[in-house]
Order: sequence, then C-alpha cells, then structure tokens
Amino acid sequence: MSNVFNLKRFGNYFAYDCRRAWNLFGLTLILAALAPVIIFIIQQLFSLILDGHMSETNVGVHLGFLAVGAAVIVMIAPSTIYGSLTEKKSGSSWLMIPASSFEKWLSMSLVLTIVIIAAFCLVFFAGDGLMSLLFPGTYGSWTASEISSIYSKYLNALNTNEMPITINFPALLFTGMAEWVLVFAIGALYFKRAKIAKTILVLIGLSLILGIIISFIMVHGGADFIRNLVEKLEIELDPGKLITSFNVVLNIRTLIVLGGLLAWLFFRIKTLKH
Amino acid sequence: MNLEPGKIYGLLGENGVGKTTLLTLLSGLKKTGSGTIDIDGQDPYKRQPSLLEKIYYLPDEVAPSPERATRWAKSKGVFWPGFSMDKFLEIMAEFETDPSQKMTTMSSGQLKKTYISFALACNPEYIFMDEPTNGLDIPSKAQFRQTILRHTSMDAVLVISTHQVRDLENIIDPIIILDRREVLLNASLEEISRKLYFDYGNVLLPESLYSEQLPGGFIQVVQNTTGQESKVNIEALFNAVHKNKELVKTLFSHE
Repeated sequence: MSNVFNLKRFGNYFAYDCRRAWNLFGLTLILAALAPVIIFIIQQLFSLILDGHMSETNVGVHLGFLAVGAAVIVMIAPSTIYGSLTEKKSGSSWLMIPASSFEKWLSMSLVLTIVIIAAFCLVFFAGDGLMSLLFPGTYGSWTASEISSIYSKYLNALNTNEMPITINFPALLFTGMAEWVLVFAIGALYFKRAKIAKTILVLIGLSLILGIIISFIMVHGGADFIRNLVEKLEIELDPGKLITSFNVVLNIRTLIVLGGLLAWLFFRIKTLKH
Repeated sequence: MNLEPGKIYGLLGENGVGKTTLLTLLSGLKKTGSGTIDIDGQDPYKRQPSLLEKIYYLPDEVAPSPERATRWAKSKGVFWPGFSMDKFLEIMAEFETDPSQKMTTMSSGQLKKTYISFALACNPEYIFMDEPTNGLDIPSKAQFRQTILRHTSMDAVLVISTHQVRDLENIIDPIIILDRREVLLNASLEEISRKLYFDYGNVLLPESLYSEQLPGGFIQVVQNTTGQESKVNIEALFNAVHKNKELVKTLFSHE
C-alpha cells in the first residue's frame, strides 16, 4: 500500500474529515446560508404584529446576505474546523491518524475550497429559491436569477463598443472564495490564538508594505513604463486580443496564487509538530 | 536505547526531563535535534501511514469530539487495521463508561477511559501513553492495570510515562529512568532486584543508597551483594537512582 496516496484510505479519511467538518461547522454554515430566510421570517412576524401586513425585501438585501455570509464562511470555517490542530490535545491526535500528509492536505483543501463553498451556495440558493417561490410578492425573486440579470446588464454595457467580453462569474466567485479560504486556513494553522484577527492584521500589514513598494516603483518610472506598454499594446493588438491577453494574465495569476497557497498549506501540514 | 516487543516499559523522571518529549519523538510528533529514532526501519517523523497504523499515542490531555463515543470510535477506528469495535465496547464496559454518551459531556476521567479503550482496541504494535492514570479515580486506576494486562497484545511495545508510580507498580517492567538528556536506568525488575536490595526492616543501614521512614520501619535501598531477593519499590528505586546517579549508571551499564 502506497505511503503517499491510497484511494481507499483517502476515501476513509475524506469521509472522516467531512463528518468532522459537519460536526464542527455544519450548524454555523446552515445559519449563515439561511440568514436571509431567517431574517425574512423574523421581519414578517414583527411586521404582522406591529403593522398588520407583510413587508417587502429587495434583492440588494439578499445580495448583501450572500456577500456577508460568504465572507463569514471564508473567514471562520478554517479556524473552526482545523484551528484546533495547533493545540497539542487535538493536533497530536490528528497527526497520528494513519493517513499520509498528502491525503490530509488534499482532504483539507477539498473540504475548504469545494465542499464548504458548494454547501453554502447550495443551502443559500435553495432556501432563497424556496422563499421566492412561497412569497414572490414580499420576498422578491430568486437571488440567482437576479445575479444573472445584473451580470447580463453589465456585459451588455461593456459590449457596446463591439469588444467580445465574457466573464465567468461562477469561476470568479469560486476562485475568489477559494483563495481567501486558503489564506485563512494558513492563518488557522500558524496562529495559536486569535487566528482570524491575526490573519487579518497580517493581510493589512502586507497590503501596506505592498502599497508602499508599488508606490515607490510607480514614482520611479513605473507609471511611464506601464503607459508606454499600454500605448504599444493598443497599437499592435486589436481590442479582442487585448482582452484575451488580459484573461490569460488573470488566469495565470489565479493559478499561481492558488498553487502557492496550496503548496504553503501542504508545507505547514507536513511540518506541524507537537 | 532499545525497546523490545512484549514489554510494558515504565518511563520515569522528574518534571521537565523530557518524558513527554521522548514519547512525542517516538510517535513522530517532533523531529529529533540529533540522533536517530528507528521503528521497524522507518523514521517516525516521516509519519508514513504504514508506520502510523502500528502506533497509538495517548497524550496526557485529550480533546473531546462533538459526537457519541461509539460513532467517534467507529469513524476513527477504520484507520487502524487491527481495530475491533467489540474490544472497544468491552473495555468501555470494564471501565463502566457509557459508549453512547456524547464525548463533550464526559468528565475528564471518562474521556481518558474512552481514549484508553480506543488505544487498546486499535491493537497497535506500539502504544505510547503519557500519564494515562491522570484524572482517573481510584477504582479506575485498578481497572486500568487489569485492562492493560488483559488487552495488550503479547508482542506489543507499551511505553507508559508516569509520575504516579504506585498506580503502575505491578505492571511496568522494565523501568526506564530519565535524567536531563540521558537515560539513568533501563533495566528489568529482575535485573534491578539482582543488583539492588530493597530492605523493609526497622534497622537503619549505614550503607543504604536511599532510606525513607515508613510507619513501623524503613524502606532502604542497598547494593545487593548477597544475592537475596526483594520486592522492588519503584518510588524508592527512583529516589535511590537520583541520589546516586553515577553509581547506578556504573552498576547497570551493559558494556
């Protein structure tokens, strides 16, 4: 049996990890995903008691819940599910589970970047869809269809100058959430206490340092270089190619960031000691 | 230092000498600063599944899982090929601990007993226990001794680190006494009683390596020059070793 990857062992470990994630984070995830439904019910109860009729909510509120819910999930899921691994009690027990570091890393990555995000989206859009079916007048339309129509509107606006622009919104949402959840996972596996706060502080610190470096470069010839490059590209490339190049750069950047974060997470798991 | 199969090692030492560190090194939870550890030809720090499934490490403090003990054991036991749910339930019954209880509602003693039951039910070749009797009540300590003797495989290596030597007096053999960065003693009870004599009389012996007054007499440790047999008192042995480090090292050197 391979010491790096064995499908049966990984299957057992992944099932164990998912069950563990559910035990530790299931309720929080459901509450965060069903927040618009819960708030809507409370709001209607108060409206009926105080005004005698139901009140309306709008899509902006639902989108707000989606954004806040997603942010909350991304920030707290890693430390709730895996934060205890830095403690001797839970961490030593976890490290001693007979599965390879690779399998533990793969399972952690799948749970955080796919299972949790997919479960949140599924519960959010299912609850939201059900409410829009039951109370179309007061709850409003399904948030997913609203997102789709907003997205089409923006695309139409962008496409007026005949540049063929397509944006893969689900992919953008997924990779964005995956990047941030991995950042908070690394924070959860490095910091022993106040994991979320310390991760945010480090991110603020890094942004400041990066901002200073970029400002320095821009002041010392960077801005001219970029201006010249853009002018050159506009002359040499047609707008369609420019957008394709931009997409390629964006995809490469996403791959590098995701790959780097995943590699860092693996290194941390591999070198965790108690 | 070599650990042989079929033995229950008692790992003793003062606070801070590195008992827990040694156990975590053996389990691969820490990396050695110098020297090597070899378990069945593998470096434990690589944490390869083929070695991990032969080891169970029980830390001095254990964490509750937010589920019932049976479900926890069932879901975790799949990783150890020798795990037996029946054995887990049998040991839990011997400890009079309800396996259907949620682990988060268990007392620290019940939690410890659940983990001990799980460790033995995994049937690993190597079991490393750090202060396993901490948190156990008096009947449970007696039960622990019986359980260890009844449920440990004949060819398993069991290393138990403890301060509570009386809790384990009749089950640990050989005994390892650690000092800072060195092993003062690693000997079987038979060898200890061959080389040291434990006198329980009421006359103070001038040549004693260690003496302590007890109700109605003394417990004294002297070098065994006559070949007489005596019952090893581990607490007195520990104190005698610490008062006579160089002498004991010479006496028990195996070169």
